[in-house]
Amino acid sequence: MLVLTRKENESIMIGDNVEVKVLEVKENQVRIGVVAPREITVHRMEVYLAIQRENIEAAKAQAKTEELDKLIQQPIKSK
Amino acid sequence: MAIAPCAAIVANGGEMSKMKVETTRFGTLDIDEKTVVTFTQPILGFSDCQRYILVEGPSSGKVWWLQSCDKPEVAFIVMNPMQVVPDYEVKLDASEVEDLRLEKAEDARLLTIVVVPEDRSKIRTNLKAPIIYNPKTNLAKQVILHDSDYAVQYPLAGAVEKTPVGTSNAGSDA
Repeated sequence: MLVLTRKENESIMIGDNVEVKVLEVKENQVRIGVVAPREITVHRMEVYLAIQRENIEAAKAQAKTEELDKLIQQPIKSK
Repeated sequence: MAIAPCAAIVANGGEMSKMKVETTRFGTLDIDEKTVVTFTQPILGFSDCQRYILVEGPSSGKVWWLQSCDKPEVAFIVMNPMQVVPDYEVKLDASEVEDLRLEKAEDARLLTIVVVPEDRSKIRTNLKAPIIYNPKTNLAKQVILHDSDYAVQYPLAGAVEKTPVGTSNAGSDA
């Protein structure tokens, strides 16, 4: 892993298009800004992993849609 | 901006250009190429699947299968989240509108991925990372709602009794 030391308001460039900037350093928190082209998605790691895990779990489904219609209970709400 | 609930999936008019899609769950499907949904970014964890078709369930349009055209074994059960959270709302940013070539936000349809584990009481849907779908261009993407409190694991079985509508924080949101 490449390790760099940065101060507040200093950045690093990743490739030609991605800038990662340290906006604020508090006691045990760092605020980071990322400027990247829109085809590069930026996520918090734990959220990224949770979504990925959930997607992989979802793709294993073997249920019949008839069964699902019963399982998914609709709230009776007037709109 | 708010998004309307997912309506029935309607194929565009015009001449059919057929293609075959191999699937492990539904056998070989003969579909109109025009109905293929292309993801502008892959569903997380499925970087080798970009093209899908929506297969409607047999009854009432509560759920659909999002079947990969690239990998026969990959299929997701998806639903309109407003069936369980009527005031579910997604704020799209300009780049997503552009990415999906949405002329107006109301054109977008929302689908959330359903997880159906062996233990059926744990059936849930992912409100944190919905699929935004533009039926006009057949482009879609899964977005992560960074700033929302929607749950990654929103329980569906008995969700109505357990969770008052509007407090959708059950499950292990990160």
